[in-house]
Amino acid sequence: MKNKNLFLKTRLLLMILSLMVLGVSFSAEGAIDGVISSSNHFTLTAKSGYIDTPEGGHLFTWGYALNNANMQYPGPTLLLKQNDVVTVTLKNELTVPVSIVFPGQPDVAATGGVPGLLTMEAPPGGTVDYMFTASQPGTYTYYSGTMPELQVEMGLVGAIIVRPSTNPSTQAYNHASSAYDREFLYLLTEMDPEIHRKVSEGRMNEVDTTTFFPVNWFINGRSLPDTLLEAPSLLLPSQPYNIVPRMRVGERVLVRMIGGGRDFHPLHLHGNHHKVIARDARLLESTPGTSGADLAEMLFSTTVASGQTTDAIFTWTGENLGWDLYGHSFADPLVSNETFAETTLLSSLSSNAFSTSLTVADASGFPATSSFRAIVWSGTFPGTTREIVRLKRSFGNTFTITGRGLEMIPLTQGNVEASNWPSGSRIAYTDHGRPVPVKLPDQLDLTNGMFWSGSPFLGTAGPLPPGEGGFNPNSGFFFMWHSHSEKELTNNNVFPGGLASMMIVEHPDPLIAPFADNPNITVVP
Amino acid sequence: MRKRSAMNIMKRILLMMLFTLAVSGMASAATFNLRADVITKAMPDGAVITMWGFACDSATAPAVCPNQGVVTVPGPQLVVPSNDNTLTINLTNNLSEPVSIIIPGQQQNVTAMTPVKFTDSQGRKRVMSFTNQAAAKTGSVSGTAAYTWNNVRPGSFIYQSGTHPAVQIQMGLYGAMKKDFATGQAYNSSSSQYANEVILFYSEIDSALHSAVATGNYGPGKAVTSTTHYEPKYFLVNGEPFSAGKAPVLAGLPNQNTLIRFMNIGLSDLTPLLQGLYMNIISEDGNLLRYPRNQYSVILAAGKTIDAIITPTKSGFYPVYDRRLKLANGPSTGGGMLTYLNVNSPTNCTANVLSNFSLDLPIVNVSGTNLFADLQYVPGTTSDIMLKLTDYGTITDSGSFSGCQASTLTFDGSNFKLHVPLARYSNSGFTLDLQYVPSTDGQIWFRLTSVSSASL
Repeated sequence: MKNKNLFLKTRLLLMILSLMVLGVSFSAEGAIDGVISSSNHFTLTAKSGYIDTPEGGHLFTWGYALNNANMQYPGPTLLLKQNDVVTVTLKNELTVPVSIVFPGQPDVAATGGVPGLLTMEAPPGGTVDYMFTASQPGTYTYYSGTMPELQVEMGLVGAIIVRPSTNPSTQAYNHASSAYDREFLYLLTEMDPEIHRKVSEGRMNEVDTTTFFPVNWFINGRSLPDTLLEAPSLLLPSQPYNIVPRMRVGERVLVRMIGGGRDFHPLHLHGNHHKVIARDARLLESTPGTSGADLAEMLFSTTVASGQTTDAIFTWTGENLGWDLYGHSFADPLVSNETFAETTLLSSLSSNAFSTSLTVADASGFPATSSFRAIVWSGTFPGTTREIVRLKRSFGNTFTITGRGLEMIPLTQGNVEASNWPSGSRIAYTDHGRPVPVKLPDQLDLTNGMFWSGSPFLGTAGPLPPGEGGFNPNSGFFFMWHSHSEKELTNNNVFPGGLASMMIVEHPDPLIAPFADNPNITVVP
Repeated sequence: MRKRSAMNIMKRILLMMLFTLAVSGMASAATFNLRADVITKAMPDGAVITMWGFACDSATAPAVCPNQGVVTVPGPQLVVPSNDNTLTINLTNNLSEPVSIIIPGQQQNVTAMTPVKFTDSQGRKRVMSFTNQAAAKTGSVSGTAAYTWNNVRPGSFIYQSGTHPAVQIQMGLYGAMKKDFATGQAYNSSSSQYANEVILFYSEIDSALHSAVATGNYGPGKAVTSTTHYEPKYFLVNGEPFSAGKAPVLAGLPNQNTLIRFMNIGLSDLTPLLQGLYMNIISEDGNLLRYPRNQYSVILAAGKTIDAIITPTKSGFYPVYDRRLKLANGPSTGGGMLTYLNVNSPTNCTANVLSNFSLDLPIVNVSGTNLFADLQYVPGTTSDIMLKLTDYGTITDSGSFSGCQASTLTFDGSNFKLHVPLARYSNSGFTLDLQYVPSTDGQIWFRLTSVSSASL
């Protein structure tokens, strides 16, 4: 764990360094690691190797390697562009026949090898070429079509991303409803170590796939906490992909989910609902090709079904929490995403009242103690005139103006100055200017504080404990994104682990340079 | 295998009869007389499984018995004509315990759905059936029961035992029930119109339970007391697990709409996946969706029905398989829930026309029904004659039955053998034994004497 922490630290330091180098430039390819071929010809070699699981497991695995590299789990994520004419050459270094199928791709032509049930297969030592046109953008998967009930379990599975013709670096599909700021891959799989043990001992004929009982669960080939480890990592030479989703408040995050294994996994994106915009690489739309994702579904857990792919947009603004995650000042202009609790003013507020009590009809939705930004108006909001004032609740339905005068900013529309508000005017509370409260834990509780900055939340940073700091430089707020089947939060019976990672929401302060995603992309000829 | 091919042809004929009758407006109340009975089913690995199934012994027109008098698993497909609102099932029970029939999704008279309770050893009243039962057979006397649904709505449904369902459904007491909104249209929406129809009815067999029931070792105080340790070994589509040489399902022609009715009566959730195709999912549990969902896979939960329409643009064999990878027969690979959809193109056939001529060969099957086959052939240099089978079906049903593979016809001196390969990547297929029948009507007539599966 200590070593892994060291790597985490290194990863973050690298991120910070890359920020310094790259400034505010964004990577064009999102944060999904994978392989690009300049000639659209990929060579995958089916071979055996071992993967490691955090509880100490060491599982014999079959995987697709890129060219002659190490066996990897999952196989290389193929990054394609719409209308690419792709050739995938499969070389077989295993002792059993193997193949690749590409669900969702029409007219896959297979040449070479021998006929199998689902496609042409490469015999041991043999080769097959698969050719198809990536005609539609989206998230896809590939896996072995040979004895798949065993070979998918053994690790022969991977992801394909086809980028659209329109805005390929900022949209998942050819419609603006699929626009995103950042993207992450969630290829979900599971393993039954007994099967791997039997195959490694040459007892493949004893494997009965009907008794399949998985006890290890993976995102992109890793289990928690390895999901958070750097990628690639010298510690996990056969598991080159990690999953550490990061975003800034208010950004749109595209989550590409793939059911790679045999079981369904309910993927829970903690922190907010997510909007499912596509399934099996097709937008959920009422009029295919034109309407955009107008049939999108709001979910907080998506059933990631075997072989199926799901794309969802996640965003997090802190809406309705009552805190300001944007670092606004009280005097900032009114913006559309301020959140409100609204009521009626029962006393009048005159222009020269700098310290007075105000009675309202119902203050239940307003903060109980701290001061807050409020808006007063009459008529239809936002009205012809409105005023921002700073209030503090004194008791019951009574507020005290705490900052009128210096901080009072009368807003005007049509050159009418706002100032005199009779009883019956409307008053609303907004969360702007209310920092997230931060309560620092006792220093003795800081047992695993690698991402600790003194402010785990998106509020004002507090004083750092001695020796801490630098690991969560942007005051990120953490959400666990994980399988909601709690059994899957274990590594072979050891809790915590399994199908989980952490989403880090970071401060949107414009003074903090946006971090680059910096994906690890291999380019082959 | 022999039975299946013949069965498919029979089904087709019966469907045609049904359409004819439906159009003629004779429909009033579909009545099926079903019998619950014991059968054994042989699995590809040689295992013989004792099952409980249904047979349709008779039906009142316009309802038609598929496989009349034959006990099958799944049971006979019950088709309620479009213009018919009433379904009646008269159930005869030849089993050793009471059984019943329910159809989730079809509304039944509330008083008809009275749960049957029994008093257990501790004096507690416990439900054993969702509805009235046909009593167990005692001596030579079979129990009987009748069920009526007065407002049958269109859609795809599963009828199943409502008695002791944990055991009886596993044992095989289930089948498909369907009603179309109109001929060639599943629901009250033009989006559900179809030219061809395929049913993929999924079920599972946990052989341990079947053997315990068959040997009297299931029940309180016996070797097996519950179905908790469900671990299916066989994974069936339309009652059969896949094995080499299994016939593909005919799924129409390119650019035609083919309706696939997915049904799952197994105890596990499945993900049928179409390789090389997308489908428009139009309904779930017999309810039309407001908008179709375009996917290549679909979650098919236990007990659920889903209707989808495919419109392939190219001919070929399209595998449909469970992506939860229930693709083994016990420990043997190459089995389970795999089906090939055979989409054929007459155009492709003409593109490959083998010089001389093509023939429409009227043939009759063993039961005397007229069929025809569109055959194109080129005389070979040897005694083998190369043939392309372009179409076959009933005379009134031209075009909906089709095949376009490179078939081979051999002549052994007295009979023809027509071999039809079944899968793009396989030499296996089925063989039609054709007996030439001299005729004076200017046409070449064959008699279909047998169908067998064989590899070249």
